[in-house]
Amino acid sequence: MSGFDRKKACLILQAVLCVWVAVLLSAAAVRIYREGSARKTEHPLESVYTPENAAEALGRVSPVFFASLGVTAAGLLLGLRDDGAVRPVRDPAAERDLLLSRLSGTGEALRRERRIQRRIRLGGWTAFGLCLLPVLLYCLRREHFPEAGLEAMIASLALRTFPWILAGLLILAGAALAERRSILREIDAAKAQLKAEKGARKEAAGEPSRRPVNAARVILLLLAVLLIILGTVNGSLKDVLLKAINICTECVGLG
Amino acid sequence: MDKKQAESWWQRHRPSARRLVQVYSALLYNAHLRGFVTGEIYRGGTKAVCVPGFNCYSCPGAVGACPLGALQNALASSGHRAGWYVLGILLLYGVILGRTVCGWICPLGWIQELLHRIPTPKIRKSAVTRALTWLKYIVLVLFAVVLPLWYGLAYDVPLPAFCKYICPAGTLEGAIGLLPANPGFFGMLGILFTRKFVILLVIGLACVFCYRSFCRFLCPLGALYGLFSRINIVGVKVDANRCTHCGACVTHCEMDVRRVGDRECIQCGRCMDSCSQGAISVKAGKITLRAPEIGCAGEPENAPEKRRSLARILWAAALALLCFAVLWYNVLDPALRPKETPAAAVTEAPAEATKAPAETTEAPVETATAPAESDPAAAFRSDAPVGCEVGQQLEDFTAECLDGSVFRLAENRGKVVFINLWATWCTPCIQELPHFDALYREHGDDIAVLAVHSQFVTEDPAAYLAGKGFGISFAVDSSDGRLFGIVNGSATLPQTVVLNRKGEVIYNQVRSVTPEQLNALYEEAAR
Repeated sequence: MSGFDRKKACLILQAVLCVWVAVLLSAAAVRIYREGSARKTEHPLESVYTPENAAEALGRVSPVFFASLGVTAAGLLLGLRDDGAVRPVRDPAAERDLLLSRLSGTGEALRRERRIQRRIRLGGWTAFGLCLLPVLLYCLRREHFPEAGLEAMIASLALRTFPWILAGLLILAGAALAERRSILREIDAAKAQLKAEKGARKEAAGEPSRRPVNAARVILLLLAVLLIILGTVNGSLKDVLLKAINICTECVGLG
Repeated sequence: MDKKQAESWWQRHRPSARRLVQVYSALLYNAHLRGFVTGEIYRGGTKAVCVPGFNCYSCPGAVGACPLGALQNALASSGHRAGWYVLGILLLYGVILGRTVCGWICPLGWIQELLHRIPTPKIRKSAVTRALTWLKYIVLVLFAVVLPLWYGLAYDVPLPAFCKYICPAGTLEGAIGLLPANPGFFGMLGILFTRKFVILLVIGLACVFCYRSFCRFLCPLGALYGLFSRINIVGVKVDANRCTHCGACVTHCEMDVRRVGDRECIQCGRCMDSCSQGAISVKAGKITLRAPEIGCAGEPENAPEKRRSLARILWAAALALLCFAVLWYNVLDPALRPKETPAAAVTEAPAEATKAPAETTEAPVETATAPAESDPAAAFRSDAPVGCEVGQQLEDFTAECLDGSVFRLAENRGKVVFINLWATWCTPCIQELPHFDALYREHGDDIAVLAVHSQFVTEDPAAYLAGKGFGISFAVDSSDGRLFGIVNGSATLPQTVVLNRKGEVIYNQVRSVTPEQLNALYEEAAR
């Protein structure tokens, strides 16, 4: 086995160990919950989780966990890493911008690709917006958010809205891939034009004025200070303190 | 390994300035180190200050508030009071630091980077990961803004939905951080913990394979700070005169950036190493914090030396501050001194407490000392020692109720007594109040129920309860926390104490209770 293969095998072994630890821990948590819930149906005062059953579950996971830890430590000491992860990811948009900065003007081919890209972006974002429309409509209906039964509410929210959100994001990803193909065509066209122009360089544009940005900073900083003072006066500072010095058991996932 | 090899290894693995800042800020945010041993959270005044990064304020070590938790709670209570303070502080951090917070001073960001260092095959950025970055804006709007705001305004129910259903920091730092020193908390773990634990594992696993997965795809705080990417003062800046638009900065970056300093850029400054032109530097306004090796344009020759001197001074000051913070939050702070509570000591002479002469009650809550002759339930007197543990007899007390009546524990001997500790800002507390009321209505005169609101009041409990039609008694604890002290109440709510007919504690736990559990407790106490 070559050095490269050994390295790859070590990385895959570590990946398997990581997934295994996560699966074992998840399975242990679900098992404890299911067994505990069954017990609780008969004896409502019994606890689902106990230090004993948690320790027992951790004990079962610990051999794989420590093996994973050992492999991680060895890998870090030996400088093992996925070289592919640190290789630069080609960014056609940046490449295109670099080429365009060297051109004196944009030809018809470039303008056509730009138009295609604009349409793809517009189409992608319109489709994304359309996917979010059912989410918005769901959120606007009061009966979907009842006072009682928060667990059912959140389950229903996830079930009814997440597929739409996911679909929207996939459409965006698809649009980005299509735009990338168009950019690659644009790069080819730009290279051809550059060759024709023999590398004529466009005049570098001067640095844009920072004045509006600085004004916005000053205004927002003053607004922030004003809001903090207002909050101190109206008691919202005290509210933050009260929430922070008491443990919200639900917020941290205790129950 | 010879000396040369060891030096080379160290050169490759030595922590960068950014890593040191990350460790430093994580320590500073969590300077209350004794909390990890005692299992108690810090309750001093600095908890009112939101820290810039993601750090759960229920973490035993936390000495500041989480900005996102504070934002959700502020939105949830916006029906009573506008959360100007939280909005102001988020705006301040956004304008000054923006996503520099994510790259430099967010403890969760640091944890994600550590997980990503585990040597496994990695998933690189692509059009799919770029599209997924929009998810965090949806999470921000839906879970951190809409749900808390809606439930706060429509039902007066505080629902920090992101904290409750997603936040991995809360599970890791809060729940798992508190459990080892508080075995009693195991009793309240259920579906919520199971679900959040699995979410934590999934996010952790994603971070191992994909750089800063939570930060890129889910973090609402990053989404919020990203809105300030065009104006934040401290961060990575590009010298337009040196930049050749080669795109090396973007192609080497592991985040889904399109250009340096955009909404996805966490301003970590790692792109400085890939820029051959020395066009990138980390600046605070016009002050250069980190310059490229060839220096910044128009700088005097001794500028790098000056910068190094300044860095040394800043590090010395920062270390001094950290040492002081650790000392203050663990030893010196007056907030650490335990309050004396009446229930602290368990006495062996229970009869003394009830036989002492009666006193008038000026404060809302006061220990009752009714004479034995007036005790209507003398037949149920217990010989158990006074205390709040199971099997002990709860110390008598009198509480002035919100409806003007007076609740005297001694007068309820012979009945099953339920004492519930609650607060208007505690979601599970509010959800279980109707269960107590239903139990009270079902068993009529055989039980007494007293719901005691924490001394920490964010809105008027009487106004909150008006119109809800509860039949049980409500009281607010005195400013010295006397009633909470009697039943060993803490910063963790809700808590339920059940007394049998003799006034002996049969149940005293911090956890939510279901109607089935309440019925089982009633049957056990009524035996």
